[in-house]
Amino acid sequence: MDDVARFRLLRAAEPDDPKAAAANDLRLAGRGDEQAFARFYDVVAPTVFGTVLRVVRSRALAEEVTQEVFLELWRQAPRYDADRGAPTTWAATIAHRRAVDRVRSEESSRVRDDRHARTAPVEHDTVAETVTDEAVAGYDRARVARALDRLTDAQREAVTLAYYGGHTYREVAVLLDTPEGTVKTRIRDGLIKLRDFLEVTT
Amino acid sequence: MSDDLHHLAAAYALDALDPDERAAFEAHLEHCESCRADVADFGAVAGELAGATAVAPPAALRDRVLADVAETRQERPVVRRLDEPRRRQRSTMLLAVAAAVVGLIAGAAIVLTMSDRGSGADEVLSAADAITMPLEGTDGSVRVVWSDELGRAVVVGSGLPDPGEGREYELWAIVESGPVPAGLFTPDDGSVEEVFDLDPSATSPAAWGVTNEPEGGSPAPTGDILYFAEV
Repeated sequence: MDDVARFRLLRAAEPDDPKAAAANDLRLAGRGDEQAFARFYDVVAPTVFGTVLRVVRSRALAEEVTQEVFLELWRQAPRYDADRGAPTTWAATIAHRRAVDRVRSEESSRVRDDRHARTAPVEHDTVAETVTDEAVAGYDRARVARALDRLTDAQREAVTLAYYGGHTYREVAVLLDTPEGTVKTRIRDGLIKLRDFLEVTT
Repeated sequence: MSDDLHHLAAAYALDALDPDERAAFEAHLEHCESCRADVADFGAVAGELAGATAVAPPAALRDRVLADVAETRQERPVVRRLDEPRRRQRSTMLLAVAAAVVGLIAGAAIVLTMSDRGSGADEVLSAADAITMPLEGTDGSVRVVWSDELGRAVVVGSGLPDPGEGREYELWAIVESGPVPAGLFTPDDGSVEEVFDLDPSATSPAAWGVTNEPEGGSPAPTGDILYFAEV
């Protein structure tokens, strides 16, 4: 653990690494540095906004939720624990959770139109449409698209409906007319493959 | 159930659990290291999925966020106590040592555990504050009836196995500081009814237990707990 922490510090010292820079800015933001938080915003805002937009689908609502997410990120910054994930992962986790919670609470009284999610699940090749032209984003997008390509169709469908569609695995089971246990397994197997293909390390 | 919970790490990382399941899994996470590792991995995968769907937000949003930030107080940092687990371990150990010491003193003082067979049992059984507690065990049955007011307990048993040559059963009143010896008994043809005077430290016990000990008893339990009940 000490080695990992030391390694992270070394990486933070490299000015060219945007992720390390984000980690450093987040640390500074945790001490109340608003300018560091602004730099952190610039790095993670496209990920946060894109993720929220993908789930809530309405641009106006996505802006509202994104604003809430960043307020939460600011408030929680002093509690950010680098051992529990990279800054962008942390931001994405909070963003996705909040987007999903917002959608589900709004829908508790209103049946959601699932047709769009169903007929146009976020396919790996449509990911391109929504991505900014940033080189980093383009690189991420291509890597993720390639990794998604290597899942079985059933796994990809379950993972994308759950994550990009913002559905619970039980809802995914209904949408796919598949037993819940099967969906749970597809999601798990799909994520294990993605973890290996993307060489995610934590 | 817990096996089921282990398999929810992936769905959890995608926020694909119902609120109830999410809460149950988060409770499980507190004490499941392998699930925490899974969640970290799968969370990083989710982060990659998020990164692949990036969209530049409108420029005005940045101003709104920074305006919020300027007037919002942050949470206080979590002060991590790296030595916490060790400290907890040590205090548990201290407690055990303290319990043993208390047991020793009580044991020494409790040579008093005067067993006066037969007589006095009725007095305890009919005491206004008498409590009857059946103890759980595999062979036969054991009940403890005691009165805090009288400071006496009666142990009533039947169908009990012979404790063995040179051995006796020992009743323990388990209080906050640990087990306090409450009396020794040897069943006669499997049956027993004995009255014990309790040490003052043994009043209002949290539990009762019986172990098999060498003749003369032990200051602290050395054998397995054969019969037990929480009050």
